Amino acid sequence: MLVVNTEFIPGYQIQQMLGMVQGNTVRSKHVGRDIAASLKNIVGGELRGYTELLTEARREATERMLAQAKELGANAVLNVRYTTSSVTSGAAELYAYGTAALVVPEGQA
Amino acid sequence: MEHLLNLVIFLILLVVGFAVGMVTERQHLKNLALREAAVKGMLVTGSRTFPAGGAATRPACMVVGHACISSDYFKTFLATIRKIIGGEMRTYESLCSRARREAMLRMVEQARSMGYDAVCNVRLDGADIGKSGERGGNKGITMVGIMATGTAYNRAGATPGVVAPVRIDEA
Repeated sequence: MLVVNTEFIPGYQIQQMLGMVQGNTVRSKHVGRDIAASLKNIVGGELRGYTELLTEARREATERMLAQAKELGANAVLNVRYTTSSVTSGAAELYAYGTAALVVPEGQA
Repeated sequence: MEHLLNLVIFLILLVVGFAVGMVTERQHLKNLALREAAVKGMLVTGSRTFPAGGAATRPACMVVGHACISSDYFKTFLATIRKIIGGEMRTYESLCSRARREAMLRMVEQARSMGYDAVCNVRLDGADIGKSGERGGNKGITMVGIMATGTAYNRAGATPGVVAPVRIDEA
């Protein structure tokens, strides 16, 4: 599966646009991470637990989006965007959306 | 007596926050400058087309970078004071720029490790985790979360040879 956040892929021709696909997830870390984060809030620095949380959430949301694209018979997802929103303290909602498409390498159309 | 103890704890937190926070920030900025110098050869643009991209030798691929940078006690305290007067919150500005640079750098480094030499259509979003940025409740953590996304590709004249598409979650 080709995944890009541009409207086209160089070297490929879009044969068919299959519509929008999306995936979302709400995740949180265990309470230990939250406590560690509030301690880190005293001294400053990177909150690795939360960075990890974002990475995991992004993967999960992407995975769900790709599953939808697969169901539609797509081999590429174009124009992918991510948005986040806060649901409750220590949790993140990640929403991934893009356009599923069928692409072929140029010259093979 | 109890008030005195509270004051002492507050002062200790302030001093610790100031000292450790300053060292952490300095090291982080140093580290950022070093790593940014290392990826200087990459063409990073916000344009939606593919600048300098010629006939593709391998498919383009999406890359991402995350960073969550926390404030320290001293910075948060200064900002609270600043909120009374109003105006520019310089301590938080540096926080935002550090988070943004870190996220962007991670994205570019990912592209580089996958063998690409350019990234286009770079987008930076704020990534919320809970009540970030506001001191609501005792769980409110002051931090900046940034997510950078972009599409990595090879510039024209790059090493030819078709490489299998790389999936975003395998990187």
